[in-house]
Amino acid sequence: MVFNTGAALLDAIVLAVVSNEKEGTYGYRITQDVRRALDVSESTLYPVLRRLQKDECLMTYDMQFDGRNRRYYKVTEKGLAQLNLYRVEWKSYSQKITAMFERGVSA
Amino acid sequence: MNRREFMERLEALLQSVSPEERDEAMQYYNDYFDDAGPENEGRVIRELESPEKVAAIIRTGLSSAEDGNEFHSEHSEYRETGYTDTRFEEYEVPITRETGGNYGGNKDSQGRRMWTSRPLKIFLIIMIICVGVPTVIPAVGGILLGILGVLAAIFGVAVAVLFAGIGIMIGGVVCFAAGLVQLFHFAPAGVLLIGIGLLLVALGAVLTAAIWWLCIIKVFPSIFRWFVELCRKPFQKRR
Repeated sequence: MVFNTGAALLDAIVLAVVSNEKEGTYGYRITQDVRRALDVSESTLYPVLRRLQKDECLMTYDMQFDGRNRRYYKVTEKGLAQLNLYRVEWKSYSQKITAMFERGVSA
Repeated sequence: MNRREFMERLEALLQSVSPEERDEAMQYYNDYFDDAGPENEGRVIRELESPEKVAAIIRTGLSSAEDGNEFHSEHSEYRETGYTDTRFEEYEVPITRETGGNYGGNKDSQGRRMWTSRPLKIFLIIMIICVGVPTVIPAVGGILLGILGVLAAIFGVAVAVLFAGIGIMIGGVVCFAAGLVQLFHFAPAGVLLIGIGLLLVALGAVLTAAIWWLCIIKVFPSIFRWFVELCRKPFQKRR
């Protein structure tokens, strides 16, 4: 990825990844999923998840798995609203950029 | 470094944040290691780089969240190599390459890197062991034996005083007995001898009791404890 992007896109991607799991998902899996789109380092996502949790975009709960407590993340109503905002923003942003690039090619 | 060492170090580094935040982070990374599985432990640790870096990222995340700022938006970005927080980057380009610019400058910087290379470190450690062990072991041994000698001397003095006390007591008893015999021949001398004998017994008893109490009950156990502690210290530090 040659484009440098701020943290908002990472927020959006994390919210999208978590919202894809209706029953919630966990840190390791979120990291693996985000990595399909972005080459994030393993230490990057914890602060993002923690902050989204504090902003009440994500909620957590613990569930027994394999004889231990595993922490699950789930998108809240507020998180879904935020994600929709990001979706709309991204759509218009990416359309404008795409249009600009393709006009450049055809000209 | 294995997982346990990594997590212990991370926990120690997070002492400055609130217990709640520390527990959250510990839970997250414990889960992370569990979910990655033991077979990926080495890879996860390599990618996390160091507990110091993870702790720094956690702390920065906390402080910018408290400020109400957008999370490290000014400092972070995506690159070809992925998402990066520019503050945690280590600049690997040597300064000499910019100033020197030529082949010589490059060679210099590579040469300097050699000094931190792994084989060299191992070689230095072996050298330290080869040179250090023959000098350190006799030195430490000498000091320990010296301390042992001083302790033995103190013990010897204590035993001497103890026996002197017992001797004085015996002398006192003998003197008392002689006084009793003398009482029938020349009464004043007998009374004097009995008096001296009693005084000597009292003196000897006080001396014996004092040295017994001082050494056996007070001094020796504490010296012994101190000496054991001294011998254990070099091994405790390593933990």
